Formats: sequence, structure tokens, C-alpha cells
Amino acid sequence: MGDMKKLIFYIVIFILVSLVVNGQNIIVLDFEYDNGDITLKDKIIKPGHFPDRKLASREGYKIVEISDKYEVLYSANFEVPLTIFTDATTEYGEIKGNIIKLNKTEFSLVMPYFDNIKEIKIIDKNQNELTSINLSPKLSPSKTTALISSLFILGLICIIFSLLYFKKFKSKNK
Amino acid sequence: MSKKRAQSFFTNPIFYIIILAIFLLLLIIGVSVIKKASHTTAKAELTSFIISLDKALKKQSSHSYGSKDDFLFGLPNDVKEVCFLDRSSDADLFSNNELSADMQLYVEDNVFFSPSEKFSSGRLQSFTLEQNPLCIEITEGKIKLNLESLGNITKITASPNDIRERDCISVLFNGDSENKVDLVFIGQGYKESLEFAPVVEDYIHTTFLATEPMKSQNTKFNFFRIDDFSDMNCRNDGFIYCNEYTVNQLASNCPHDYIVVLLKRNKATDLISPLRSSAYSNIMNLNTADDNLVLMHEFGHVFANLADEYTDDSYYAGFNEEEYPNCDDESCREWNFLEGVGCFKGCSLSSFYRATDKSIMNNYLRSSEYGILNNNIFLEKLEVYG
Repeated sequence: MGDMKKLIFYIVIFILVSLVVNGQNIIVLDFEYDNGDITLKDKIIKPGHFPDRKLASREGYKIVEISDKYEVLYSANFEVPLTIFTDATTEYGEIKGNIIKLNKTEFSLVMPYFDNIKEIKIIDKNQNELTSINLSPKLSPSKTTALISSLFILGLICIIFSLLYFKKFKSKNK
Repeated sequence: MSKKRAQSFFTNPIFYIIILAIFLLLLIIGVSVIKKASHTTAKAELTSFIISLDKALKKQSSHSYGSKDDFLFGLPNDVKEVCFLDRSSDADLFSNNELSADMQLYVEDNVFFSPSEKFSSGRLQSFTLEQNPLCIEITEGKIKLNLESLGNITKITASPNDIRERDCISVLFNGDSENKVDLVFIGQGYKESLEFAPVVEDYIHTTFLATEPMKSQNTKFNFFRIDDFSDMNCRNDGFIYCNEYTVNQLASNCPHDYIVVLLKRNKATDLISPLRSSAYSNIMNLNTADDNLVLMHEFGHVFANLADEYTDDSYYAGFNEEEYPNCDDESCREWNFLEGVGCFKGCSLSSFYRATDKSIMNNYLRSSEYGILNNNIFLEKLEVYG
């Protein structure tokens, strides 16, 4: 029975270790801008880093992440990249280039991801809500990993206990 | 008579010997210049490694006791082994004669590289090791270390060598990303990290950190590299345009306030079909066939919101100088209170004015300086970083 207790102890430790959540998760969003309208095209949640946006203009748009308890989890200012600078040198040692102004483009934002995130809102400079993205309660990678490993361990425990029971049953019959 | 003399001159074998000698001399000079340049890059890469690891050790020791983190660093490709030596405790040096000799020769140093005749040793702040000395074999110019905080000192252990292409490599780490400007380099058209790493080093050391005000503010920047060269949906529209979503997915493996995409291109191809570098959002797409200073020009656009100070007939007619701090009307009142600046005609459009005649934002082939006004704009923005 002492061996059994030891085994249970190790299994519990193993479960706890496997449930440790990974590092910071981020959400990478892909948007389409069309003459003032912003729509979400795609998104991905993954471990990684997000830019600090310390120098972001405060006159542009604002993106806000809201929790299931309606708290602001994160907010940042951003500008839609409607200006592209292009530059090249010529064979005469001169620089040629241009600004390309767009009224339709695809752009992307990288932000921290929170497990309790419910909604992402984009607000324009006049404080009008442009877009609201409801994040369905999909499991984040950390939660998914934890769930898979928990199920795996649960299965493992069942097998071990069955084997032990079978062994005990066999020795009793002898 | 002179025709005959000329004929005899060209048939003389001495002429061909001289030509051959000149050719050989040029070849030797060329090879030695290339060797010297690659040696300089390797030296800079090694210095970056020592600075980065030193800062990482310091950063880790400030974390709570027992906290562990993996760090991936870049090294010159020729480094075969790195040995760490804790001079405050006993070391088993019998197994490594080369290290034993170096340790006695360079009494202040505690990090040694093999081959030692090629790479000089360095000095890191004090650290502790599980096994003293700790020697790690290097493959493909990368080393992964696990740093563990033990209060006021950090323990170094070798991390399992499971380096993936998408992993973030610290090229020059100066401290916590929250307080630094983080630049990440991504490559397009490269086949392996051995080819990409020296190019990145060159952009960082001979261009970025050699240009004021970045030179004097060098500790405010962290540089990272990702050796994943998979397709990032970069289009050739006469200029380079890479899909921001794809670029962000890859760049987010590293701290990335600004992203530099290096598009490998040779000068001959570029001469036949010129391709412009570009800047938008926090992304700089660089054509490597262009002068390296194009990095500083594009960084001026994305970091300091500087406009082009050259004029081009095809320039966007709707350009509004009020959106940019380095262009003004003929009064130049935006900067005329500064000493040493001027009021020169031409700033994106010929109807606007600039503060410096020749600068990186005007022509990076003719000047490697931003000029007083632009320097001040950079310094003001850099103030928010520690």
C-alpha cells in the first residue's frame, strides 16, 4: 500500500507541473480598412511578444480589450498605415521616391491576449465605436495544452490503476 | 615606326607578365579586404554576444529567486566552443588544455572561445555554474543558455540544443524590452543563418550604431534576429510590400517595436530592374542591393515620422508638410530658433523647405548624418526609453 501512496503522490505532482501555464500569449489581428470602415479578416492567438507602442500618436484610433466583467484589460493608440514611403537610389547617386496614399488597405495589430477577454473594440478619434469583435470563448493555447495534458494524464492514471488492480487480483487468485 | 614599336610591345612576354602580376595583386588585395571585413564583423558579433549576455545576467539576477529563462544568442559562425569559468570557485581544467592555458594568460577573463587564436576571450560580471568550467559546443553560430536567478547572482546552464528556425536570437541585448527600442531583423531570399547573420551584424554595427544619435544612445536599443526565411507574401510593386499580418506573426516571436525585413537582392538584378525599399507602420522593407544607410532613412520615417527631404517630380502632390516635423514653408519657423540650421529649398516637394542641406533624409549616398534638427527629434523621442 506504501507503493500505491507514493505512486499517487508522484502522479499528483506530475499533474500540477503539467498544468503550469506557458509564457505570455498574444493575439495577432488582421484588419481590412476601406474608406473609414474597419473589419476583422483573421486572427491568431500564440505565445509571443507585442510592441510597446510608446510613441503611438494619441490622435489616431484606439483599440481596447474588454474582459468578461467589462473591465479594460489593455488599450493602445494606433494609426492605420495609409501612407507608404518608397525610396531608391539611382545610378546618378540621387534618391528617388514617393509617398503612396491609400484609402483601402490591410493592416495588422499585435496585442497581449488574456484568458478572460470577451470583446475587442476599435474607437475612432471622435470616440465613436467603429468595430466590436466578440471573441467566442475559444480556448487559448495555454488552456488547450493544459486540457490535453490533463486528459492524457487522466488516461494514464486509469491504465496504471487498472494494471495495479489486475496485478493484485492475479496475486490474490494465486 | 611607332606602329611597329607598339606591335613589338604587345608581343613582348613582359607585357603579359606585368598584366598577370597586376591581376594577381588586385586579387590578393580583394581577398584580404574581404577577409578583413569578415573578421571585423565577427569581432563585432563577439562583442555583441558578451554585452548581451552580461546584460541578460544582470536582468536575470534582478528577478525573484529561482526564476529561470532561456536565452538564445548569436555568435560568429567560426566559433566552435564557448567556455564559461567561475573564477571564485574551484575549476576542473585538466580536461581542457587550451582553456587551462588561456585562463592563466588572461587572468581577468571568464568567457573563452575556441579557436582561441582567432577569438579573444572576454569578461562577464560574476556568475555561478553547476559544472566549472562549463564548455558548450556551438553549431550554426547559436548558443542557448538557461539563466537562473540565485538572488544577487545568476547561474548559467546549457539549455537543450533544440533551436528552431522561428526562435528569437538576441543579437545585441541591452536590457528589459519594456524600456528599450526593440528591433527585429527578418530575412527574405536567404537560405541559411550562416548567410543571414553577418548581414544583420553589418547593418547593426557599421550602419545603425555608427550613426548619431543612435551611436551615443546605443544602450537604448535591443536587436534580435529570426532565422526563418519562409515566404512572407512580399510583393514587388516597384517597391517592396510585405503582408503585415504574415510579418507580425513571425516578428512576434521576438520583442519587436520595429521590424526590419531584409530582401536579398544582388546589385546586377537591381540595376536591370530597380526595386524601392519601403516603410509603413512599424515595418521597414529593405532592398539589400541599396546602400546600408537606407536602413537609417527608413528608420527616420517609422520612428521619428520624418518626411523625405529630397524632391521628386513624381512626388505625391497632396503632401502636407504640417504632418511632418522636418519640412516647413519658406519661413522655416519650425526650427529657425535652433543654432546651426538653415532653410534650404526642397522637402518632398520643391515648394517646401528643410533644415539641413545634405542629410540621411535628403540623400543617404552623400551624407551619413541626420542633421541637427532631425537629431533633436530623435533624441526627444528616445527620452521615453531608459
